Amino acid sequence: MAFFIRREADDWFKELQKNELIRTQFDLYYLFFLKGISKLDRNPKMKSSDALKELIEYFPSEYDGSKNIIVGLLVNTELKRLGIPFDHKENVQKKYNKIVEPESQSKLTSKGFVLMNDYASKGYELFNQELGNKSASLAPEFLINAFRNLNEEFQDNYN
Amino acid sequence: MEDISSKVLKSTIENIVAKHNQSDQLAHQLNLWLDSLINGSEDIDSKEDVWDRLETILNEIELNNGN
Amino acid sequence: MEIKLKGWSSEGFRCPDANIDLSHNNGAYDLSFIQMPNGTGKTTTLLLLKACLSGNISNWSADDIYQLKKKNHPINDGKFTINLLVNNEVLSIELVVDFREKEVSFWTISPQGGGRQRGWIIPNQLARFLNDEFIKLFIFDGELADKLLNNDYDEASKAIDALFQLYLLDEIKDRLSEYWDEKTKDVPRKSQQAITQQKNKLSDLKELKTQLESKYKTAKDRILKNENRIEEIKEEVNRRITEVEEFRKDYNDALSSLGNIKGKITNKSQLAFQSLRNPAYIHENITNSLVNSKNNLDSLKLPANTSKQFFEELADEEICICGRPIGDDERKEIINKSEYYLSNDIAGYLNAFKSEVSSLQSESFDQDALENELDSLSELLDERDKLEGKMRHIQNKLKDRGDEKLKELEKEQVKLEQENDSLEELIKKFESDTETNPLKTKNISIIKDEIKRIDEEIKIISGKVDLKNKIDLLQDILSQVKLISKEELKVKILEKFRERVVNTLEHNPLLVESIDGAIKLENQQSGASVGQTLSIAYCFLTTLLQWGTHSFPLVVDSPAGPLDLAVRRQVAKIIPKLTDQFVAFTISSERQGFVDDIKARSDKSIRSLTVLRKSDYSNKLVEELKPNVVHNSTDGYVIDDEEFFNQIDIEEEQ
Repeated sequence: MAFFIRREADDWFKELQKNELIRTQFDLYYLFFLKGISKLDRNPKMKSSDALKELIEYFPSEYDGSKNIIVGLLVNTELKRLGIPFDHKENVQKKYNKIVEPESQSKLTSKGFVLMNDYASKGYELFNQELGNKSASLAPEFLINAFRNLNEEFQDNYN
Repeated sequence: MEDISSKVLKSTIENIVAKHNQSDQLAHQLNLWLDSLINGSEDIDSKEDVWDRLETILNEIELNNGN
Repeated sequence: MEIKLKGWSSEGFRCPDANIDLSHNNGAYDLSFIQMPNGTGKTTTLLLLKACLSGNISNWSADDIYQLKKKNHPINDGKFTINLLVNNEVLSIELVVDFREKEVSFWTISPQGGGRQRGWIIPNQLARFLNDEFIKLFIFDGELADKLLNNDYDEASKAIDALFQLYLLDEIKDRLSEYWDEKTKDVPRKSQQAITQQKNKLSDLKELKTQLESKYKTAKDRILKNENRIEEIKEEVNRRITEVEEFRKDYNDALSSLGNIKGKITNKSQLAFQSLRNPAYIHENITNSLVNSKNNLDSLKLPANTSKQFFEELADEEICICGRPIGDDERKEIINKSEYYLSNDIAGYLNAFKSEVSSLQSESFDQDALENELDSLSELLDERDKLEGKMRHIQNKLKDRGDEKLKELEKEQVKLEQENDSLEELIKKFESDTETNPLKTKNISIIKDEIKRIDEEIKIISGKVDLKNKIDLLQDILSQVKLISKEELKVKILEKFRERVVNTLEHNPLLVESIDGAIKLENQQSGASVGQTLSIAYCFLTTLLQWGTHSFPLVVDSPAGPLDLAVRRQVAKIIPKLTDQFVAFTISSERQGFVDDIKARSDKSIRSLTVLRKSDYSNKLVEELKPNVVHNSTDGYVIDDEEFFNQIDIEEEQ
């Protein structure tokens, strides 16, 4: 199992990379993921190899300090999305068991990977709609807009 | 089974196997197998045994093109 | 292997119930004659004898079974037992029929084998001979004799196969075919042709891939080249502009500021991103949520001491920690519920998570700081845009002044940029064309996948082709072995056979030319006479039956029936020489010239029994006999009396 990004985001990535605003595609994937999380929304339907491109099977080293938090965020979001009350001990445990694989570098089970990819997939779609796809002109702005966008989303939705 | 007949069978196997440039090992395998079938110590109805033996024998066979 | 027929008993079948005992002096009588008028059930008896010996009633239909039942008799079961001496050890095989259910079962009785056991349980050594083909050779009927010399049949060949078990080689060949079927049942049957087909496809695809890859590389190289040229152009533009005194300073200043700014932008973005990799920096709501999550875990007392492992191990126990027994239901429930508990390792993760959240808590997340960073990044971008705008403005000024070269360069740059755009489009196709047909797509990975798939398929088919070739070779070897060894064996048989013919048909020797499918006699234009046929057949069969150390009885139905007197006498002469045990079913008319002759010439032990169905007629016949020679059953008589045997004159049942 691995992290999969939406293929259509290639253009964005190329532009961003050209402008040295982003190092790896995983960084872009991460932004998409956050977007999906902010809306508590995911797209589980994009699974084919024409829609998705495989990235890597583990978090890049820059994320070592934050991957536990990211995975925890994923669990959190799932509990919220499914409306599972936090004080329901059994269900909380079950959810952790389902998503977290402590032995692996990524800390994710295959189901965990799938979930994360689904959120990222939705995040890409939302960004696409909201920020447009005029990649060339938006490259530098995209990053700023993306950050601001996320900031707003978490302000409004995630509490 | 009469000694003469099994001798005949065995030598025939050896000759033919040699003719096909197959190994002595193969002839030996076949003869062993024939032996056990002849003296009834191996039941040909035991499919698993037969297939095991077959696989051994088949592995033994080398395909020299232009045989 | 020495086999003798000690006798048999029959109860409940069409033939009269009878117990036929041929034992004599720890063995059996050398010659036994069982005189039964036609209709007394000889056919049934022989059928049952063969069935017991072969253990094979697979071709018996329910009707066939029912036909064996005694007529007009309220009987539901039939039992037929054959008694043998195998290498001087007793062995009996029982065939039991339930006429109501139309079912047949076998029982085997052997003191060495553990008494009476259900089933047809014959040691391998003997079982090899007890197959239908071989049994035909010693439970013999006249038809076979004809066929042995009839070129339309290959009974002689089959007889040899049966004796030497050459059929085993055929069975191995059959097993090989089955083996092949088994190995290929999931894979569609393809041949060398298919491999060629696939290989052609493969080479087409590889060709395609090479072409596309070359185009891809060309495109990429071109893009790079264009980009380099564009850079060159930009530099040249810069140079040209700075050559103009008027614009030099401003332009150079702008240029270096631009360089500066670009560096700052890169740094700032990377820094911004660095912190944003921790989601908590995106917005404090995230931090709050994570803190809530941590607090929840604490209040739920997670991770707890009890883990999934605990319950998994508990489920393995017989007794619960509370003292109660754990049965299958309890076990299932425990395992079910264990899913709701965390595994040990997740405990480790949760602790790490909680402590990282704690440190986030203590860190101050400065929303404003992020805002400021982004703002300044934005400003830098604006500045960059401005500078670029300024530079463009100067450029245009120069152009308007009529600097042709500048115009040219600009045009070239635009052209190259456009070219690069379309090349990028092309490259996208090579990378992510959605056309899935490997022969039509531009997507190189799809083609690579297809190449891999076909390669695998070829491997599988080749593997199978390889296997098939091996199997064919082995089957070929076995066929040849059978053929050649049979020829060699035939030579040896022929020798012995001829010897026997010469010895037994002293006065009228026939010359055996060869044995192919049938026995071929020399100088036989018109076919052999009945007598000759029988004699030859007997010689041949007994050659086989007495081969080497084996000895089988010869059981014949009406051995002399169709023969005229002269021939009978001829055949009668050879019979005693042929086998160790001869059992014949005869009718009264066969006595003359045959049975009588045999008895007269032979010094062997002889048994003469007469079997009659009970009737008014037979009742009367039997009345006059001493009781000790008459064995009575519900519907038949077995009369053990030489004189009676010789005198009785019933050909057909009365």
